[in-house]
Amino acid sequence: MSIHSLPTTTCAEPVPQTALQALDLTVRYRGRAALRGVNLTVADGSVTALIGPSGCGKTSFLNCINRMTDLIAGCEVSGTLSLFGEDVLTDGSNLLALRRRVGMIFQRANPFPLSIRRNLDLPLREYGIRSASERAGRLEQALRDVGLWREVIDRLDDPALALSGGQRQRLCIARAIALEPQVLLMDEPCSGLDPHATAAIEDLIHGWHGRYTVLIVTHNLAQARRVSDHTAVFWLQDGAGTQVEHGPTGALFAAPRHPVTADYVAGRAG
Amino acid sequence: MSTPGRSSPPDGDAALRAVTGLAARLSGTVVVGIALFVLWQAWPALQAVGPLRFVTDAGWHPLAQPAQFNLLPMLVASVAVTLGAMLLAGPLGLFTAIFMTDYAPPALARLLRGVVELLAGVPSVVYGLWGLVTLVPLLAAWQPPGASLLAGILVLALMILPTMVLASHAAIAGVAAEHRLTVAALGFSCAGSLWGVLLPAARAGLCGALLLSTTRALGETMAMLMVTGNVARMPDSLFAPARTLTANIALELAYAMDRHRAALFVGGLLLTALVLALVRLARGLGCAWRHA
Amino acid sequence: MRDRLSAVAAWGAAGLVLAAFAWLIGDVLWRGLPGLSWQFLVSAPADAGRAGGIASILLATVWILAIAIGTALPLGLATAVWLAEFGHRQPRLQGHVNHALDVLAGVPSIVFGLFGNAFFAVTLGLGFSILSGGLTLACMALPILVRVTGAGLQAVPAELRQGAAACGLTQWTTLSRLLLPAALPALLAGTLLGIGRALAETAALIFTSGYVDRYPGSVFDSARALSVHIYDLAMNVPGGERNGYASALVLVALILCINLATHALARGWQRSMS
Repeated sequence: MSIHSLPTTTCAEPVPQTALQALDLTVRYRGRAALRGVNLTVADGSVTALIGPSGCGKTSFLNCINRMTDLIAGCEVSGTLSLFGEDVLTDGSNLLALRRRVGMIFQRANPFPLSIRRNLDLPLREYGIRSASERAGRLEQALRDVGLWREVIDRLDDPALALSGGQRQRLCIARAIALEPQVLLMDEPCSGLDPHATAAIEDLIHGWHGRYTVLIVTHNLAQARRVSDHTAVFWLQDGAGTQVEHGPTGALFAAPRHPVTADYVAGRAG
Repeated sequence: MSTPGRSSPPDGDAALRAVTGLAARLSGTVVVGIALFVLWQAWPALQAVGPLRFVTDAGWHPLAQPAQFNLLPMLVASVAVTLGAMLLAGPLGLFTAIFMTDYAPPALARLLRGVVELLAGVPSVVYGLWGLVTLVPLLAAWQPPGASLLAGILVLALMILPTMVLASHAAIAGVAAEHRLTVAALGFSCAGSLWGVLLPAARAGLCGALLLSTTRALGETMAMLMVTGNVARMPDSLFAPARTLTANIALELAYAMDRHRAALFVGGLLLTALVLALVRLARGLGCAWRHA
Repeated sequence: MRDRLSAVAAWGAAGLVLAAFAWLIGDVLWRGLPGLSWQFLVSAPADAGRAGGIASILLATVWILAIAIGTALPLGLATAVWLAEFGHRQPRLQGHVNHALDVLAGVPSIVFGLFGNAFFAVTLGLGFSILSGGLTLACMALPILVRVTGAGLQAVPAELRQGAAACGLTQWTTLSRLLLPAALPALLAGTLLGIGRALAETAALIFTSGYVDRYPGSVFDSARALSVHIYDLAMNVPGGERNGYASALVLVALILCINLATHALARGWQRSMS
């Protein structure tokens, strides 16, 4: 894995690596552009919120990063998208390895219809971890990391579908981080969850600063302010979604440069 | 540029795709193989006898000297029993389906559904057995010989009723729930909503039901063999014995040789062509067809 | 007024249909029950079937079914998997396969008899045998198996497939550990429906597995299935109606069991999906 690192300056502050860089990224579904000309750089270890109204291509953008777009019939992606310097969009790239480096959490929690243990054990085994004890260790660590360990320790073999909504989503998060990803993509992970479960997940995200690179799509502007250190705003332009502004969260919300951002964060549009 | 499927899958997945792809191709070839094979077997007769003689010869006398191969009496018999059966089973099946969806108390509807589903699975020999032992003697008492076109029509109608009822029921029940809510909200009467809105909305499915039943009727062999009398002559009345195309093949295949045998295959081709033409017609008319 | 007519027609039709079916079933029960007994099920036919039972027939039927389903199930399952998981990448081939199976489902059974006789019995040299009959029935059961199994696979929620893909699971793992277990009830239902179709089949079997009513020694032996036995007793054996009806009763009872099992599966499946 080649490290794309910026030259260090004489300043004491280290310049962060770029985890993700998108250049002129365009997504078409059966010829019609849903996302056009997106340029975005995401620093390693940062939490970036993607905000904007529905239909502006935020989910499409996420889907490009782990090549879930391959599963959609008639979908074409053009432009450049690189992950730690490697081009994600080339033919012949190892999709399975990519999807383990880049974990995805969906809007509706989708644990496998298996036991809690098997939900984590299956991907770990797929990953090539043959030793049962090592798998058990990673399983426990992942569940501890999401705060589920104590809640499920005595029912690991019970069906995952018996868990509550918030627990299911945390289980899905555990499933993703058990594979030790570099990037986590979260598509409105808290929609449909009660405030208590939402707070639990937001706490998790807080703890991830510096550990994972997180991109989180959210319609909840307050949530974006709470959890992210960078924000990117998506809007419709010429019938397709595109990114109109991005920057540090505090600055963007306090002093938005783009008029659309100003309207959106003030609740006047979108 | 990322296009779906253009990355290197792991070996296991590549093998999976290859093996299942082979299976799919094989499955798709079966029907083609059958068609070609039947054609190949029929060819000697088509060549030696010529297609025209199959409708213009003096009659069906394959063992005579010279052999005669007119399939028309059998074709007419097949069409007659099918038509007759559909005239009976079509409306009866439709109204029974309507009964199940709109008039029956739920318990009765469920019971009826269970009975119909059971009868849908009952083999044609059982219908034929009943027809032979119970129905034909009754008909014979009324108008000899009993084993006749009429017996065939009645037994066939009974046989395809379950298909007709189930397929119609599926079509009507499948009409979007919104339609039902709409007519209820507008205060339509039961009959009004049925005939004005719901049945027209179920048109495609009902057409498919009719068609499915007709092709089943046309292809029926055993029951027809057992109750229609098996006389290879053009039937001149409902009470005359007749022989369907299907029964013709079943009766003579066991001992037919050479050209006679090939002529039977021609009959099989004709039958298949009829069924396919019906399906094509249905598609053209916009029928919705689901093979259960 | 139209309401009254409509109601009369509906009740009338249902009543007529129920009455006709009651007559049929009642007749089968009335004539068949006297001949039915444990002895009937476990002894071989005697006196051309007028006396004795159907033990050898039942055995032959089981063998024929085993060959039919044993051939059609793997082929049908693999085809359904291809159609559900890989077909979208080759839409034209997918369309051809679907269309071919639809046409196959509509082919009249006597034509299968012609084909089976000419191909399996004559060309492949298998003669009148359980093998010929079973393979012919496999062709007939194939469309149902593919259709029902395929529906089961496609009914698995998209979220499950997405979750598996996002975790980087191979298609094989996703299929074997997640999709097929979820679609298992549909698979079983499809198998049962295929068995039901095969049990009911007569015309194709007469010309492929034949008429012999002795115990079969191997799959290359000719043997008589239950439906063929009923036909023979009805048409070729004077005085055979009693045992014919008894055999018919056994056959109908088998079909009933299959129906009930399929229903139970469907209910269980719907419950697990919600």
